[in-house]
Amino acid sequence: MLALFYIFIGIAIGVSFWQITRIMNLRGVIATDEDNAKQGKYSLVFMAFLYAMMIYCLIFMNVLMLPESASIEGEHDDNLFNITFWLIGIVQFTMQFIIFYFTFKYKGNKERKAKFYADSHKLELIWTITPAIVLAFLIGYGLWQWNDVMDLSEDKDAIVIEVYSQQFRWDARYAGEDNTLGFGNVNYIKGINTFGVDMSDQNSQDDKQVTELYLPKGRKIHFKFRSQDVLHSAYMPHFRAQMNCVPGMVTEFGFTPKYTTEEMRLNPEVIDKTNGINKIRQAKGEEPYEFDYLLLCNKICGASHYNMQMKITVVEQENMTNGLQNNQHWLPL
Amino acid sequence: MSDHHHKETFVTKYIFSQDHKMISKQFLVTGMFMGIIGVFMSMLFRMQIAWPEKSFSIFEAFLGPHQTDGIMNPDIYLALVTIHGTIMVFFVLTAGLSGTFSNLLIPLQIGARDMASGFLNMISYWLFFVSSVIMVISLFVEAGPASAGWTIYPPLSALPQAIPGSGAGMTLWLVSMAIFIASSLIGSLNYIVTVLNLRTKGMKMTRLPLTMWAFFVTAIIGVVSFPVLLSAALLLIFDRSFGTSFYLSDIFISGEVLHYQGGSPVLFEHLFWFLGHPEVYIVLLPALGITSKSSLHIQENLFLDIER
Repeated sequence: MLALFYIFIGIAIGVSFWQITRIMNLRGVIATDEDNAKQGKYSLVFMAFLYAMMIYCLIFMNVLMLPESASIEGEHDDNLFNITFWLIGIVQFTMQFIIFYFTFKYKGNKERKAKFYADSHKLELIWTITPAIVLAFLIGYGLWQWNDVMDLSEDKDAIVIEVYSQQFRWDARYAGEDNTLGFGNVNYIKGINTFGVDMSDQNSQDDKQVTELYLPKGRKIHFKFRSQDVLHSAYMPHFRAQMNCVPGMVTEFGFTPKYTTEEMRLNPEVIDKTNGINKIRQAKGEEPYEFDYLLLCNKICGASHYNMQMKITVVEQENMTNGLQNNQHWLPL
Repeated sequence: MSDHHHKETFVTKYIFSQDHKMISKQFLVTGMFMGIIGVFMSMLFRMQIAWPEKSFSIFEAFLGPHQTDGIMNPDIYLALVTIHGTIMVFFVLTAGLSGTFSNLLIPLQIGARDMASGFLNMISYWLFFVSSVIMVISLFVEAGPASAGWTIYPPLSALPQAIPGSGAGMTLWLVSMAIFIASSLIGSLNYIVTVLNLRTKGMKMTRLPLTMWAFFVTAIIGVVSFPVLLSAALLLIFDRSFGTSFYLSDIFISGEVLHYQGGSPVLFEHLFWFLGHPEVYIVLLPALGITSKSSLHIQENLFLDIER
């Protein structure tokens, strides 16, 4: 595989040099009809190659896409993505055909003179207004979706969880029975108080700090994000959720988990992916992979940015127990 | 611009030339050279991420202290990504494209003898050259070049204790970009003035080829947005060197709370992307303008009906 890569690079460099030197020779020569005929054929060949690549990628790279959204709000993200891709796909396949086929059909030759086409108001209007309407629809849908996840003022039933980021780890703080987080600021960091929670605040008394997130299925979670040092970003791909963690401010995001981890592990797409990964791991003699939801860091934050992850487990609501116990799952009634 | 009474030496003809064709060649060569460096960097980090466990002797040859036994260190990966992005977006696609084609084609397609100011044109190229040199020099700093991504968000880019590349490497990056922005602004002003003032008799704005409109609008977008990047860079220099808090607030790092209060990284994001979004149009429009003229089967004049 690596050898193939080196060979490809070698060919690419060689061809570039050859083409550059050819340009110097071509300065005094104008294309003949023969040249145009050849180039016309190459256009068709390239179009066939392009179509083959597009179709191959659309079909065989599907396995790399995320499985279906694990959050209710995330379904709209997937909707938007699919609609956009269909629209773009149709335009792409049409336009590439038009470009390459007409380049072939109207290739230059001695008899033919280029048509002087002044302009067409009607055409210009059509291809300005149609994209404008389509874009307006896509953007409108996107704006509505943004409000759906960002405007959390209406949700009285949401559970508040703080996600705290630093170089290079994630922690979380549950708000406890009062569902209100105690005030946090880096100036309170001292000794065992690694999150900088103001212990004199009444609301912090029942807060619980954890290193792994447990989320209840079917309840809206109101996340509050903080950062201790530099910009991080809480990226939860399966839930279609991402929000920057900015030092000096608290950012928010909300979603409702739809599938427990156990349910997701039985999802056919996830089973396919797991099998694919485990085939590779078995060949290398490594531990087998089991699906888990993940929280990843998505803004460059330093050397170990690539490794900054937190495991998320979604469980049925009745499996999250109440009261201050040793276990990590904890949820207000 | 050569005048037959004026004897040209090697230096005035090839080095400090004020002829738009020579300057466009200078932009082209420098842009291509920087492009080769940028492409090479992308090869290195792509090899690393494609085969993470494999040891490459090419890393040993080129990365020096930033690798162990042919395996890349994590922070040089980020540095390569950062400098690759910076070189490609600014040095190759902005200066390399606009500098080459605007300089070459504007006087030819509007019917002028040369750009409005050959002297400023020359200054624009040499500032670009100096900023390229400084950017390449930043690669050889001991702690590594700037590593916070081509978008260099603070606090990561403001605090040397957050990542090694945010020390001297970041300072050199900022100096290089400040000089680059000056070069870009001078060049853009030159293009705008030339298109507005030096069109030949009968060349109304509506008779201009689409390529000229593309370069003209690109230059206008440039003069509107690049100064905002310069302000972002300037405030970052202040935060890094003079203890100000434009972008920084409530930071606990390396075991201590820093003194910064009241700023926000979001301010930098806004200032940066005020350039960042128009930048991609600065990159795109010249290419669209050039290809609009390359269609063999149809000749079109966009504004013909206004003429009638």
